[in-house]
Amino acid sequence: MLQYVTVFDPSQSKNEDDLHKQLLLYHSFEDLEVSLNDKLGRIGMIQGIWSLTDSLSDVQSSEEKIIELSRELILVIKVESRFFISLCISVEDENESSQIPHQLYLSHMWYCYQFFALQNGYFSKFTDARELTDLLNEHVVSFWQDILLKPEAIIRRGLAGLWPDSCKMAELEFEHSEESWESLITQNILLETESYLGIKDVLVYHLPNFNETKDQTKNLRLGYKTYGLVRHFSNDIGIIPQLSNWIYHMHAVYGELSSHVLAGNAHYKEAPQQNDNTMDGPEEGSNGASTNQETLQEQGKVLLHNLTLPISFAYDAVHEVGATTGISNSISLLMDYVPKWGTLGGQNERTNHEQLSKRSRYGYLISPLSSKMLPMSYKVKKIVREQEDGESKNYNLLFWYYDDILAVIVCEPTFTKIWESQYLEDLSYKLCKGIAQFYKTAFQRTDVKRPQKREPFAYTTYSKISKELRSSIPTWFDAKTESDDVSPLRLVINGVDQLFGGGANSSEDAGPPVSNNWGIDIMGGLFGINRDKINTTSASMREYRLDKKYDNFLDGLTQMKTWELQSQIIQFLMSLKSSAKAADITEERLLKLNNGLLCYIRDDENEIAIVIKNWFENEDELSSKSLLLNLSKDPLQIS
Amino acid sequence: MDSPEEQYIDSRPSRDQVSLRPSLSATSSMFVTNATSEPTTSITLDQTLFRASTPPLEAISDRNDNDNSNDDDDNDDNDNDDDALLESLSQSINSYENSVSRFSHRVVSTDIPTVFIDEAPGGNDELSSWNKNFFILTSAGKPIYSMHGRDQQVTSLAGIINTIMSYFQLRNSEDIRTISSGNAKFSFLNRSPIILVAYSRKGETSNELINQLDFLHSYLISSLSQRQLSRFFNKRENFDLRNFLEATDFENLDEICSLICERLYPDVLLGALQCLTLKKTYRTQIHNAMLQCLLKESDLPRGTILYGLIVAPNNKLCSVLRPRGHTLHTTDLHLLFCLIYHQFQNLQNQQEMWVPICFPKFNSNGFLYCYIKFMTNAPQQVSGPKPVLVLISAQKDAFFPLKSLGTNLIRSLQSSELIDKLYRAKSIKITDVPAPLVHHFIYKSRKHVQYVMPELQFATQPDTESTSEQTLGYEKKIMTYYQQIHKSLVRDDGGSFSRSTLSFVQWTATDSLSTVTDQSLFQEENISMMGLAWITPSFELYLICNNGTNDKNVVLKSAKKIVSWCRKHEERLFVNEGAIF
Repeated sequence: MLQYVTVFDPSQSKNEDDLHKQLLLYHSFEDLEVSLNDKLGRIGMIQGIWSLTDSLSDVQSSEEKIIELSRELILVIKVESRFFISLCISVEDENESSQIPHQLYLSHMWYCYQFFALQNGYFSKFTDARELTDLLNEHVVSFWQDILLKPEAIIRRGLAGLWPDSCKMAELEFEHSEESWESLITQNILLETESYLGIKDVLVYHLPNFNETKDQTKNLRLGYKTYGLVRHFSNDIGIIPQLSNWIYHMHAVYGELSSHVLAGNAHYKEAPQQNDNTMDGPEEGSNGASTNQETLQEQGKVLLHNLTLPISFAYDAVHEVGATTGISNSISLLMDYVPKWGTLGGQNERTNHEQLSKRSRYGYLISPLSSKMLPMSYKVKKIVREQEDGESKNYNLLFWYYDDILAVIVCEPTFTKIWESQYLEDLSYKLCKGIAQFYKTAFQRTDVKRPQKREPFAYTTYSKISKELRSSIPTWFDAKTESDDVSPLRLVINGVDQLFGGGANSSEDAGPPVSNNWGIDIMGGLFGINRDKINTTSASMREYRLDKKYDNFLDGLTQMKTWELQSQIIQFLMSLKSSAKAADITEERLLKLNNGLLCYIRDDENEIAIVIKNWFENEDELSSKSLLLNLSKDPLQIS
Repeated sequence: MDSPEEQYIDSRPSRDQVSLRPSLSATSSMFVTNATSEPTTSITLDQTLFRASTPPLEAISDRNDNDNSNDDDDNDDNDNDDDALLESLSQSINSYENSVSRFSHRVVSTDIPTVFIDEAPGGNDELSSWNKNFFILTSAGKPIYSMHGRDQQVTSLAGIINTIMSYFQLRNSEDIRTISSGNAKFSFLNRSPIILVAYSRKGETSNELINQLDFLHSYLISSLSQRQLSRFFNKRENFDLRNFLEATDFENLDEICSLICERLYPDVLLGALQCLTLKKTYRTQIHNAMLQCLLKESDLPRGTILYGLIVAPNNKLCSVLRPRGHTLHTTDLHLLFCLIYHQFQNLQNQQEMWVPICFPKFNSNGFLYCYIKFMTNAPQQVSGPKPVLVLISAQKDAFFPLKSLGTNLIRSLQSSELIDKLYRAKSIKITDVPAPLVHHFIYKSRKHVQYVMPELQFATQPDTESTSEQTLGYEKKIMTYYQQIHKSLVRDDGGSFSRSTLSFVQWTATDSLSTVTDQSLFQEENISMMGLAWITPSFELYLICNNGTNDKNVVLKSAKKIVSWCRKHEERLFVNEGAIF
């Protein structure tokens, strides 16, 4: 598991005496005291290795290095040409199948950096090293802490998380209709006089929840290829991949997107009632539930009275990860107990469009409509775009959802309309209209007669030019469901658990019903929230909703099998990546394993494509012709 | 050729020419300097390849004749009927039935282009100009050997490496294994008191590099033995081993490094031995002769002789005499063969050697003693590599018993003309195997831990300096192909993906050259190389197809044919049990 993460900048130190200045962050995930000398020794060694490898490389040196020791692995990346970020992982030899390939850790290091830069700008913009250290502490440590406690976050993204500069695109086929949802959004929002040039872009994501393990909803699972960015409307935002990956990452870590998650206020803590101390996690919670809760309560009071510090609605999310359901279950649990949890646009608006939206849920996740008591991060999300010319540009983001659709509204910081609640409600209405059209065209078919066949293949393509990633190889699931040694986790919202009476372990008495005056919400549609009820009441509706399922043959696999497949593909890819081929040569590989896996990988100047088939399934077609000919020269044409 | 056409060809950018036509074929092969004749020469060659009756081309003169006549044909065909030519081409290659349309199919040729990053090695004096390097140093950081680089450079590097290794060892007694940085990779092997480091930008897996380092380490042990090494370093930690090693040791290390990096030497990659192709009856006769000679020497005390080997040139095993239940490790044999054919090559006919060699995998602490004598069929024969007889004993003073055994054995083999048979034994040719479109292959029988491959087509030419250089380049290219194909189905740690795996790899050049006008026959060959790797519990097969092959079906059929051919001729291709006493 993770051992330590460190960020350092050798240029900070001028001579022997101020060596410590180069250390910007050193966080050990183990309960070990590390002396400053030791820390400096480690980063010194990393620098030594870095220059050793560079001194022997003739060609452009790589910005990432992997140092493999017999029991640990040190991953190092260099950003902004002088900052080093290094992560050390201990390698467990046993249980190899559930090991996360280090390539994924490496790509998450890039993610971590990207997300930091997205929210705070480049490292080099900071003149005060202490300020940077504080932010790194807040950002980098919690990023890895969450992964340490929830390694599923990496597994859930799987193969799609391998290319840190890519953006996973959703692939949905829209039925032809008089007015497409895209034009509704373009005309009503982007080109509309009130918001023209104020709203730069609307990013529409389709983020269905794949956490489903209940039998009755299993068949409703949408194919993974529908996951991701569906559409954005402007090309000059420039931060689409980073922003998208941030959203995917948040989704993967927390299982659901809520106001808290997006505001950056949710984090995992190891549950206090941990029986099993084998896990290398922070032990601070293990000395009993009471202390922890007391501190939180204490904190809460202070917050309540001051109203200056982050305060938030907290809900209890205790559950066993070892159980099959994953984190979403806890949220649905909560939802059951909080029946009035609803949209913030106001009940009247909701009834107005009842016919439009049926049972869909929608509303803002992050918007100025949230309660005044909440900190700024709940009102707008501020991001920084670092441009190549060294300038940086700020944007304000609002988050709005409609069932499984997340819309990110990118505004100029000068656009003040968003602070008017009337405008926001109008905007919500317009979005709602557009997205309702989206649902109608994406999942309904006009010719329902022809039964839809499952695709007999799965694919992932990564374009080296547009940086777009398309994938239908299912990834999203909770890993390690079979292992028992994972300690229970608790999702805590920075602030107070006890605010509404529900203690950490007392979800049974969830306290008084919560009003939605807080203006915060949790994303998810029919299948994310209250699914038990929906199963009984809206069966007919479900049917029409999912004429198209976009699934393929891999969707029938168990989670462990899917993960094995993913790790195997990553191995293939790594082997291909280290190929000695010249740059203008296209290399294709076709592998057939005796477990029936047929894997085609193509690497050329423009893209990397992976196609997976089951060799046994196609035996009939193949017997007469070549066993492999059916994978034609360009499998992308099929897909 | 008509001059306008030639001009058309010549006006092309020379870079393309170079990339498409490696220098190898330019002068020595039948692929002639004249690019315009390519398609036709390809045809001829394919015909010769796949028509079993046609004898393989052996001499340059023949080739040139052939070539010229082909050129004539070419002209005729050009003048008359392109369609007919193409039709005959598609039939002669026998590759795919659906190639009917005029230009839809590609031209298949046995000229193998390079698809790999071609780094000119050693362009300048810097260490960084080498894409592959080995360093051997002591645990105290004193350099022992490096493949490339000046002393000064290596000394400072050795210092850094030593610091890094000891840092991790002191901190939590861990060994550093690899450092990867983009396409470059370092591998470390700590065999205290020796540290070995490999550096590679050739896309090798960690496991391959470790195996190579282990081989180098085994060499050092074979020369010194582990016990002696430990003794040196126990006495003085910063002992400088360079002073103790002899010039021949460095030469041998150079030779091993060049074998691994520059030559077609898949032995280390596959962990298997190559074997002399010999008729089953002859091999049995040799084995019988060995056993009989051993029986005759009845006064030989038991345990005097451990092993007896007959080794043919090019590191090929021919026959084994061994005690029941004991075999020698492949690495030990590799080392022995390297020594024989590098160090003792110039031994006179009547000379014999008695050398102590440590077999590191047999017993790394002690020496075995080898009686080595080259075998000649006629006393006056001098030049050329000769097969050699090796008798191995554990006793230092067993020279005379082994000498008499060896003399008797050679005499017996001479009288039954078996030595002659050894000289005449020819390695297989790709034309022997009914495998269309296959350029070259390596078949490894896992049971025997031996592999077989056809001889290289250009390797048999008389040794002028330019050809041997080209042969080297060609071997290296082929080896790179094999290395890449092999890598496609193993993990970085050397494990295979599944019990049996089949993998196709295809390299194609981006179609920057396809702008050729369609009425021209003088299309430059597009690069389209295909390789196949196939691992099952009983065999491993790696093959390289002719350029232009793109039909997996045919290739797989060929692969199956090769497998069944090799199985059928197993007794001829591999040494099975040997003579057991």
